[in-house]
Amino acid sequence: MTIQVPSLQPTTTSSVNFTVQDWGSVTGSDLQHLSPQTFQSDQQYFTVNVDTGSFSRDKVNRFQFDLYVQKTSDSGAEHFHVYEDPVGVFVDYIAPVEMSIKSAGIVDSANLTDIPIHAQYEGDIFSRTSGGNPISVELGISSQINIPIVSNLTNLQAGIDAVTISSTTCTKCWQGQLTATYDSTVQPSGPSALILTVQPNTLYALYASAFAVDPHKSQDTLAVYVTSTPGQGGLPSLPQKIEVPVRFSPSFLYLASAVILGSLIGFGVRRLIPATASDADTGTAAPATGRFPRWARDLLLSVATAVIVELFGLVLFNNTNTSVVVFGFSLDPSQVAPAFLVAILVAGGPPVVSKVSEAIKF
Amino acid sequence: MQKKLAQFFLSALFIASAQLIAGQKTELGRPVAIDKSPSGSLFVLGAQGVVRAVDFQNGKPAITGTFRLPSGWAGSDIVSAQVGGQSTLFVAINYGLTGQVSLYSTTGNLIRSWTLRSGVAGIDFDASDSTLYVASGRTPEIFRITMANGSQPESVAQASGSQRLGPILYNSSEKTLLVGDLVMGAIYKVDIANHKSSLLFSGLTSPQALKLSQDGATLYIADAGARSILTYSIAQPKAAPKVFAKLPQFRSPSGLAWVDEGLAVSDDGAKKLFFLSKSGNLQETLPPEK
Repeated sequence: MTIQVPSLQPTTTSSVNFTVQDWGSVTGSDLQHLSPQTFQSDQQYFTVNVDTGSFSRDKVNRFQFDLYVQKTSDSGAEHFHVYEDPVGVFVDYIAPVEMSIKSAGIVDSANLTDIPIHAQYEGDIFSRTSGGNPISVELGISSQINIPIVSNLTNLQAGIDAVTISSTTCTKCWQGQLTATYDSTVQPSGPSALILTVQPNTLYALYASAFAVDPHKSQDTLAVYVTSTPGQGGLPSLPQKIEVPVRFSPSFLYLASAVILGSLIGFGVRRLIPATASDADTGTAAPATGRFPRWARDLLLSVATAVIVELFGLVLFNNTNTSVVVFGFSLDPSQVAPAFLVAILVAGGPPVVSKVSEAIKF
Repeated sequence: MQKKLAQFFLSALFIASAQLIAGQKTELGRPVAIDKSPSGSLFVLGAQGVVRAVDFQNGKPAITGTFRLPSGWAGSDIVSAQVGGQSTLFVAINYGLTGQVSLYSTTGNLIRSWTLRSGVAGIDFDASDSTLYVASGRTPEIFRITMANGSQPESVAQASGSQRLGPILYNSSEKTLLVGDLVMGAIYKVDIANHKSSLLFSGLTSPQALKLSQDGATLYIADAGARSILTYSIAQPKAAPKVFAKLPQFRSPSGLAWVDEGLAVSDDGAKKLFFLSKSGNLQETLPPEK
């Protein structure tokens, strides 16, 4: 008796060849020890028993299984050992496999369903389901980032073996170990999530965010490496990299400090700039009247204006994603550095703005 | 009444715990290779990359130690050896297409490792020359690794005509290598000095492990397809093989090791070790037969 199993083509650039070895005859009692999946050949001449308990890897890591072909009238069977030889990159799946059987002048064929087809080089087992926009991570506290993923294995379970996380651009921006919790088993095409536990290192994170003021760009990217194994004899995958861009989000205290400090500096700089004729014309040099000295009134006014502008900027940014544009640069008012800069300019008023503008021009 | 109930639950808990501990001491996983160390312990390599030490306690085999290889590596072969006066284990493993041979202490501390890009199917050690021989996983090549510092695998010969190499055995009396072919069901003889190979035996289904008798005259072969242990006479390669053992419990014999006067056989299909007498009769199994 001989059998042939034609090649499969999982994708246009990959294929799976089957090597079949005849391991001789077995008796009916041998068949009783199996956990078989039984198929009838198309013309009913043969019964094919696929031993699902034999789905395994050999010593050189090839996927292998046993099948037993039995003439319909016989109690014994012919034992065949089948190896898969995959070529190229694809994602493991369960497929129907056609086989032809020849014995004593009889030619028949059988369709074996539910045969796991395993790649040697696994494609991406998981995909991220949410968009790639930067995720906000609050400074000063330990927080959790939820990364929704979905399995690309359409009819096989996937087991997550390990998840490791590292920073790609700012290792020092994080305190302690970056860890992840996850369900170790993901159902076919099923959703799951990686929950990352992170705590930013405030000083380094503030420093990193000072130079990444564009509200749409990440201030660091976490590389999450997922090692997983497809079910029913799949090979452990090489770590799959999932990139998680993050932006550090300062607490109210940090923002308030930045605005107050910025407005004090802006006010101080304005006082240092000599008054111009236009200032005198508009009455800015007029003597003070009232309970507070003139400089104190000006200082309070500067701080209050800076606070109002920051609050207005935050409301607009959070509700309409409108960024603050200063000297042609788009700034995120929820970050410490832009809030500080805006406070300096607002508290400093036109003299400071024009000085800065002149400085930038040159 | 309450006292009796408490006694019943305590007894049940004790029995359950005892069974759990006993189960852990005998659970082997899928043993793909075995070898006996000079210290007398039998080392069993599991398909999932777990190495277990097996010793006889009160005449019964039991697992006395375990260490794990890196996660995801699949076990291929194991050989014990004295290296630098230390009792060590060479462990051959595969991750995808890449193979690795690692030298471990018997307690599981990694000493050295070598990478083989075409995978690794089998290993054996020549103690007199402190050289490890490696059968490639995907090519017909045989490599040699010396124990000198900074040594790398070096190609020795090719088993021409072979399709998929499997077990390898160093024959010290002839200074040759015997290599099995998993697909052709054949054994090749490789002359190390001349770098030449020739077909020695054929007619097997899938030779998984090779072992020479202590006098070097008889080759023992674990044939997974035939579910048996066969013997060939080295002096008469044309003679038909003899069946040394064909137990109904055999599923896929995968490894061989001499234990005292008998032969230990690992079977990854049956997930067991079989301890056979000098005449091939079953004496013990691990886990024990129910």
